[in-house]
Amino acid sequence: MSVAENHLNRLKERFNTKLSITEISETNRIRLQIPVEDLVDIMQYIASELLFTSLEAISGVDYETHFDVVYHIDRWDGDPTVLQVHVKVNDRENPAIPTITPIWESANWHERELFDLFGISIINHPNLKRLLLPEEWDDYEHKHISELHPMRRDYHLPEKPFSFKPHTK
Amino acid sequence: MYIHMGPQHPVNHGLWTLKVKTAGELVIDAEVLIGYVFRMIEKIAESRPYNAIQPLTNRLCYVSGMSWEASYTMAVEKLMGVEVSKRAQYIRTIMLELQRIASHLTWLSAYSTDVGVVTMLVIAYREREYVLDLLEHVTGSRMMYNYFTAGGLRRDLPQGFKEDCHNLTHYLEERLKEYKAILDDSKVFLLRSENVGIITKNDALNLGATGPVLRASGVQADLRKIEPYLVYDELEFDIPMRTSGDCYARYEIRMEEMFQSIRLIRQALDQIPLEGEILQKPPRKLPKGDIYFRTEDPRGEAAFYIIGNDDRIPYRVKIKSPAYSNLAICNYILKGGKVADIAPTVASIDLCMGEIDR
Amino acid sequence: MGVRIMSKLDQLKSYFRTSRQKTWGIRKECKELGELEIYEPMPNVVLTHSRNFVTVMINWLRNWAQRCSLYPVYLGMKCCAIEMGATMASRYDTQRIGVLARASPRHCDVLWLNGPVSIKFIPRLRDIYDQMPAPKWVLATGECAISGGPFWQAPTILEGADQVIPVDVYVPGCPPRPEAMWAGIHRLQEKIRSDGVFIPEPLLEEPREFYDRDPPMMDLRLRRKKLLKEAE
Repeated sequence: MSVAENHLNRLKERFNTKLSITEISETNRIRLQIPVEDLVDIMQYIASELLFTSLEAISGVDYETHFDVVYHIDRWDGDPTVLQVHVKVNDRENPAIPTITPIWESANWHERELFDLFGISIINHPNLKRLLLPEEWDDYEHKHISELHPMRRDYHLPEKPFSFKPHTK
Repeated sequence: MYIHMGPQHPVNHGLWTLKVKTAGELVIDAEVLIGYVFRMIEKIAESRPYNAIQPLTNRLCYVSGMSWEASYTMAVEKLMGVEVSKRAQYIRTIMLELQRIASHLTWLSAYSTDVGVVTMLVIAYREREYVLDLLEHVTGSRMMYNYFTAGGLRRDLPQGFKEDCHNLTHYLEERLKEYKAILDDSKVFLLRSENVGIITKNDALNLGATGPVLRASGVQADLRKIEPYLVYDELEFDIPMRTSGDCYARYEIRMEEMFQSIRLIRQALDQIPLEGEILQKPPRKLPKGDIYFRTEDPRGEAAFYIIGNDDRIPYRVKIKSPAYSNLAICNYILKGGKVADIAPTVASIDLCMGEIDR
Repeated sequence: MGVRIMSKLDQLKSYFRTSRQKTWGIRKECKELGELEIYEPMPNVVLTHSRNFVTVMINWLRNWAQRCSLYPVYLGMKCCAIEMGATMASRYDTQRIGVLARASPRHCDVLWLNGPVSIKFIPRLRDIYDQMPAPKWVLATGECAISGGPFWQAPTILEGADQVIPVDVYVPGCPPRPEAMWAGIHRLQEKIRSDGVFIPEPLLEEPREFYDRDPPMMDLRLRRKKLLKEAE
């Protein structure tokens, strides 16, 4: 039994009902999908029992009907397994997920960026402010909500009065 | 007292603000603000075909542009399932290691100026010019190479490359030993680097540090050994590691890495197969699915999370940069230190604002 | 009493013009002719109408001193900053023509723009430019400072630094080679050399190099000159 299967089996023993998609691809990447309510419990288990010590990245993906937040969690002791945890956020008006910052401190900036660019608010975050866009971005004249959070799919890049247009196919 | 080391500051290499609250010489609180060069590359990438995104990845971390290009093209190739020929893989390895040396030399000039030994500012740039000469001979450009494509490389190596490369490695090895001797003998350098900006092992893992910052804190972690890509599993090299976690450890690790890169280049030049296609035509569309591909950047672990949607244009390109998490560390470790220790700490982390702000 | 509430966008727009414009008569003339307001900063040269041996020699001396000791600010924005560093390093040494970077903008002549100007950075850039004492020049290197560059599509990037700051010399390239940057510095030096009490007609019409581009409002200025001539 490979190392990745070992981790997956331990997760399944503990949280079998909560995991929706579980698969291993390329022998090293474990893919999971978990509901939002059990996020903190499962992450706590991963950090303390399975000993995955560092959070790599939190990415947001905007499918038109829902958001998908993807966590990549890693360990640095010679084991190349990477956990890819998907969390589906169905609410498009007021999306919210709890924070992972007490478990891994690196989530601080990743979650701020998620809030900044997608609009997914983070519950109990110590310092939820805009990170990359200017802080006065909310005060500018915006026509749509998606302009406040530009990485959403309904925001299209503006037409600037410049003569060069790349070919689109 | 509040000090705002604002966007324009000789210590901040790049544009970012460091707000520091001090009581005398002691730092009580520190906050980092970024976003002055935010160009929304991830958003632009959602409207361009996958081969038109590659010139943008060159400009992510401009000091080591080739490693970001390589990361992106390898991620796309893995998603599409394209196999690259052995010769192209060896050439890629050689280019990446040359880029690593150039990147570390830029870091060396910035770091030693900030610490106080201003000699290395101009010396390191001079050595970097020799490396860039060689890269220009191969790719045609000094900084934005555009050399990697999905399926291989654009051009083959020119004639006489092997000799030039051997001359360069010979020259660099001698000179790097001299520079290491200069800096190790300099009392100013040692006083300002040792026991400054200490990052413990738990802190480094928790805060998401990668690369030389992590290896200086006692974790033997290099993606070229853990998850080998290209031909790193066929070549022999060591990974330096230190346990002290201060600026001097990071400096030593980067100097060692330069020597190991030279060793890798020599082995690759000996083992490179003489025949093989350089470019194989990749499929037209990105298939459905996603991939998380990570490589060892000179700064740490660079990763791309690409979601394809059966189209030439990817659905989502997420860029994970090592300097992003490494800079977030400055929020925590500067507390309890002195104001004069900010410059060496910040410089030893090796930032590049292009990849932090994307 | 009307209390004017400035929205954040208005505050930002106020950075695009300086208050010095009010002291020059140019703005009034524009309004009379019904043209757009032209953003023209205080010129680096105080024009006088007396031209004699003494003033010309003093002017030549002043121009020589200024152009042979240009001090840029340590402003490293993006990729072109590394090529700026390479230009100042030992192979393409700029210190031999007097170009030496200084940390504080109050000691500097030249603002060497290296990268794109983003919305977050506009107030800071304006502050740096205002803190530089006149006479000052701006050298925009790289595509991002000229016109937004490869990232022109992003909403947070301005299409060129000349929307905030008047630029004297543009150096194209992405990034421009150190030799091209050197040529840009040389062109700026020639421009300073021709500043003065008396600008002879041949110098005004000298052929422009490819990297010297008219500022965006030049056509309106020439048109205004024509209209003024016709009105006489």
